Amino acid sequence: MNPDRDDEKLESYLRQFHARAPRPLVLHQPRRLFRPLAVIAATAAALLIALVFLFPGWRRQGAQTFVVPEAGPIAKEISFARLSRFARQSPDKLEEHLNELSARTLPDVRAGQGVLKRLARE
Amino acid sequence: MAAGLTGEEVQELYRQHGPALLAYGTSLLGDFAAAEDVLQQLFLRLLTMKAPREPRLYLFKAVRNRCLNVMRGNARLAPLDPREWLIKPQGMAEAGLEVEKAVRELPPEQREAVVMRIWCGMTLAEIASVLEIPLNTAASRYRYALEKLRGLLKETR
Repeated sequence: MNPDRDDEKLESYLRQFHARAPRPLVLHQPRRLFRPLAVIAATAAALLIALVFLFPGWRRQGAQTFVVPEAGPIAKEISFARLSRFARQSPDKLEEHLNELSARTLPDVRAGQGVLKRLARE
Repeated sequence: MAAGLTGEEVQELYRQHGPALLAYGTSLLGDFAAAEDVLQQLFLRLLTMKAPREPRLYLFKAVRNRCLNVMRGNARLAPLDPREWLIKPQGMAEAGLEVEKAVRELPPEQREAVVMRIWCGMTLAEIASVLEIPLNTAASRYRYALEKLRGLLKETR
């Protein structure tokens, strides 16, 4: 009885059976996925910028609107147009009118105990 | 950072060595699904690392290390998925099951050697390299494994 011959016979018997293949390999390739995503993002950004420039009205429609508060009576009085009109109609009274307006709008440096009063004294 | 292997290269390695590595992993873990998971993780890792100089030996060493880690971290008495890992030729289903059973009954070192030699097609020198043992030790483990298998399979063959 030859042991090597026996080994060979056993080996060839065992080799009739084959190893089963594993399930298919699923590869996630994040580095390669990044490139198409970057291209898509860049294209979308370019498209958005082009839309904004081609249709400026669209931008205004979509833009948030702010409600400007109604100007007070003094603000109306000291508008550039109103003062120009006043200067044309009665130039002699302009200085008096400006003094009156400034007394109503600017802080009184002589009143109170603040820094302005001290500065006015100096 | 080193450029990893391409997806195609990884798939090619998987196609070439997948079945042998799965047989080896299953022989170590005794769990088909767990061995498949080890393979999937290992091949995904290949995408981010430099191509190994000797892919075949590297893959076997890597599967071995990963399986040993799984065994250390997940010591359980019975395998969860003792699925058949051998394809049986027609009319040899029963014999195939006997072979799988006999291989399971071998001591781990002998089982490892015989699976690597018979179903992974490795030389004794390659087995010694992967297991980091002397060539003579690999040869004697294999010889003992064959002896034991012969005894276990006597009635079937």
